[in-house]
Amino acid sequence: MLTRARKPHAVQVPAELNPDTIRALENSVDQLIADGVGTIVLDCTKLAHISSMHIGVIWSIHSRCDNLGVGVILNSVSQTLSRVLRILDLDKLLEINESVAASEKSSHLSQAGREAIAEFQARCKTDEESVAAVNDSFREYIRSLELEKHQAIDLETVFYEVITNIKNHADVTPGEYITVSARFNEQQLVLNFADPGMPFDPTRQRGSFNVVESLEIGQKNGFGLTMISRMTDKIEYSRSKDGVNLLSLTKLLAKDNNSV
Amino acid sequence: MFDTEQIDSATIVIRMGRVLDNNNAHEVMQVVDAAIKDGHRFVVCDMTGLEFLSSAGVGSLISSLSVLRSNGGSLTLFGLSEKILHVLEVLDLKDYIPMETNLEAAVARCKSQAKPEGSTQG
Repeated sequence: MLTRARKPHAVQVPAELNPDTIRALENSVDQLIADGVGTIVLDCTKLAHISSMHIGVIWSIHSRCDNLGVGVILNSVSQTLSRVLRILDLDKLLEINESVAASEKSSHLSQAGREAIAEFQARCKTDEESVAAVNDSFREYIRSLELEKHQAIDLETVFYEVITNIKNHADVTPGEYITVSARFNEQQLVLNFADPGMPFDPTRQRGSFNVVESLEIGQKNGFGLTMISRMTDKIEYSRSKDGVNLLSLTKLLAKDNNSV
Repeated sequence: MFDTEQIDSATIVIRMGRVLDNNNAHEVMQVVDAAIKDGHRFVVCDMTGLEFLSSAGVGSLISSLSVLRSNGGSLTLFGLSEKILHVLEVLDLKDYIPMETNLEAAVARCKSQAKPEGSTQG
C-alpha cells in the first residue's frame, strides 16, 4: 500500500534580508518542521540580487532541516543564484530546481510589432517532491500568461501527464535531471521536455481511441497519448546522440489557429 | 488509501485527494474490488478536491466503471471541477461516465438504478 503522497510545503525567501525578515523566515520553517512536513521548498523567485547573507540563511535552514531529517528543495532558482551556488560547490549539497522567472510576460507590442515572449525553464530530479514542485511552478507560469481557460487546462494537464510518465516509466537514473522549458508568444506555446531515460517515441505509438470499446473492455491504459494529441497541435520527438529523449509539444493559441 | 464511507448496503463513497495518477490509480480499483466483495454495487467518487488527473487516473475510472457494470452496478462521479470535466470531455467520456453535482444527487442516481432484490442482474 502506498503512503499518502505529501505536497511539498513552500516558504518564500524574501528579497530583502534583515533581522525581522530572517526571523519571519526561520519561524515559518520552524512551524513547518513542527507540523511534521517531510520536505520544505524554499521559493527563490524574489531573489533577483544575491548576497552572502542569502547564502548563509539558505545554508543554515538546509543544515537545520538536514539534521532533523527534513528535505529542502530550492525552487525557482535564477541563473545568478545557481551560478553562485555552483561556485561555492553548494549545488552538490543542495537540491535545486532551476527556473527562469515565470512572471516576465509583457503583454504590449512594440511599434515594430515584436511579440512578447515569456519563457519558462526548470529542471528536476525524478523524486516525487521535485516533480511536484516543478509541476506547481509550471502551473504558476501558465496562470501568469492569462490564457483562455481551456488552453490553460490543456497545457497544465499535458505537462503533468508527460512529466509523471517520464518519472514513472522512463527509468531515469536517480540523481539525473529532467529538463523542461516553455516558450510562449501570442500565437503558440511550445513545451519541451528532455530526459536521459529509456527511448520512447510517442509519434510512433498507435493513438486511436474508441470510448465505447474502452468502456466495454474496461481499458486501463493507453489514454495518455490520446490526451496529449487532443490537447496539443503538434508532437515532435527525437533522441540525441548522447541518449536524451527530446519531446516538443506545440499548442496553438490564436483563435483562428486552433485545430485540436 | 482513499477514504471511503458506506452510504447504504449497496453504495459506498470514495473520496479522491488532490491527485489521481500513476501513484494511486490502482488504489481506486482495489477499493472497487473490495466494495464488490462486500456486496456493494454502486460506487460514488467524490472528486471535489481533485486537481490533477492523469491518463492512469482516467484508466482507473474506466476500468472501475466497467467492473461495476458487469456486476449490475455503476460508478458515479460528483463535484468535478471545470478542469477535470474538461479532461474527461477531451476524451469523449463526459457522456459515458455518470456525473452529478453533489453527493445527494449521485446517491439518488444510484438508488434509481438499483434493481429490487431477486431480479436478474446485467
